[in-house]
Amino acid sequence: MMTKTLLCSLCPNCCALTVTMEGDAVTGCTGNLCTQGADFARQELTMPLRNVTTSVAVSGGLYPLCSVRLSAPIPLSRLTEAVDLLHGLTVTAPVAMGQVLLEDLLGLGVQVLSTRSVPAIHFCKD
Amino acid sequence: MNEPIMKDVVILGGGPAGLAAALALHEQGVRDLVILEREPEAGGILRQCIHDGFGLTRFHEALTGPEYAKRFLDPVRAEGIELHTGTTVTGLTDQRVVTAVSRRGLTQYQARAVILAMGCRERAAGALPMYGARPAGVFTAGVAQAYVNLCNNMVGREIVILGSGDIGLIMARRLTLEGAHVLGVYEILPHPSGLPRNVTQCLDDFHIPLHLSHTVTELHGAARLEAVTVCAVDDQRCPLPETARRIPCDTLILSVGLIPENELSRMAGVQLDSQTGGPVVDQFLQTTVPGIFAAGNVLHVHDVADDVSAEAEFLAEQVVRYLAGPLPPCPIAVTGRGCGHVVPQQLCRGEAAVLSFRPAAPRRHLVVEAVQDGQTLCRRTIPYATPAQMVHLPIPDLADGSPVEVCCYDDENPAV
Repeated sequence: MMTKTLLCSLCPNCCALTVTMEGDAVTGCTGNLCTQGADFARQELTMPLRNVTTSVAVSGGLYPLCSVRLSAPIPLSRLTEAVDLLHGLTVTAPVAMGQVLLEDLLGLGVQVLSTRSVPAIHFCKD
Repeated sequence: MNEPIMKDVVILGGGPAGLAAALALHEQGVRDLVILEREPEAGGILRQCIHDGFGLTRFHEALTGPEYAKRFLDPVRAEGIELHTGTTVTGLTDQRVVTAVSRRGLTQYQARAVILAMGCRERAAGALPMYGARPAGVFTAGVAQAYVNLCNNMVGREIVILGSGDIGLIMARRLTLEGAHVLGVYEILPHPSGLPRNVTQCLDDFHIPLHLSHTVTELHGAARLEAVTVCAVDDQRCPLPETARRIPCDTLILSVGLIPENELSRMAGVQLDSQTGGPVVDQFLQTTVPGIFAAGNVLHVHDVADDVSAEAEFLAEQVVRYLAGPLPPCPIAVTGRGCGHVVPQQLCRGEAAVLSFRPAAPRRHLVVEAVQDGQTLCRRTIPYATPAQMVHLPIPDLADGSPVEVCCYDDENPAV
């Protein structure tokens, strides 16, 4: 049996959780003021989930970048891979806020969504 | 110059506070209003905050900054509320005359009420005791954020961060994701300044070390930063020279506090609070100059945008009342013990209010109470309180006119 401590980040109470584990399984949790605390601890210690916010390049846009997030959090262990993929992505203006820029990121079943609108610009040739 | 344009309300700033105030005023029937915004787009600092976590309280979902701003900007546009971007306010008088400069020229407004919603700015390198030259490569966290998120310019490769405020923590993650190597975050206080969830998700997730009770004492390099010297500090925050270490790096990011931006307030003769850096206000968020109100980070620095929006909406209700007739006098002074400052600083008789403040240090089971004449007016116990999270304490209406004191204490640190 192993004991781990962590702070719950679900709400401002910031409970100091003490979690007991048998191998990879969570067997007990104390210090939580609500039932969500135990679920949080289980998720954090077995498979922590994070959303990813970054930017992708835009071609032909008023701005060089379009900020993005994911439609749902993904495992933290896949985060670097996700960011690397997004860095290689270029989208074409115009981009609307909320537009789906990539349908299924790394086969994780989450979408990449634009979080800003980037109007297209038209250069004059002279 | 033409005659001033008459307005019921002029709002200085189109960030979260200004937009929320404008919408709430509009909903309550105030139509003769204008928002003046210095930047080319409204939204304030939210424009560059592409991380998520906004709107958790208000909308029960984790939005990014631009998405949160859109929730306010869309209705502002749909309702046709007058909003001028690219417009800098250069003058404000105690008679509520607002002077603004834009490409259209100089415009003056005579307002019945003015709402200060200018937000805050960052404390910069000049305010810190660091020896050495002033090479390139030293940025405040917000400036680095604007470069990276808005302009697509990377600020550096080998990065040291001074200060563990939320923007600094968020930039540690952001710069790591953009391929930089963040060597560490150095915090002069014995506890992190940012929210605990940011310490986990921005530092721990990326194995970025957080060095508490440490500071940067010297910059090295001529044209570009080449290294910094870091030192541990004692409990008086004095650097201990024997602990000095030289850390090679090309960039130093500063996240060492925010200062409410009150040049215009000062110009109008508004009294400022040396603790908050913002105006002294009464419980209606009216400053010491009648008809001039303040909300958001210009008043006191908030942790989350949701709180700013809520405060601005409360302010809008008070402005509606003010436009119908003067607000009650607020002669009752409020002070704090065990907490840095309390907003508002003045209360009236016969009307309930909400006091906002921060505990001096992180505490478990913190008791906060408001006391008048030795009588406890109200008391709340908070499971976990930290200076990073503002505390709100509703207090009942007061019958008596003597001063009110807010006390914060726990078992280990009893009220004196």
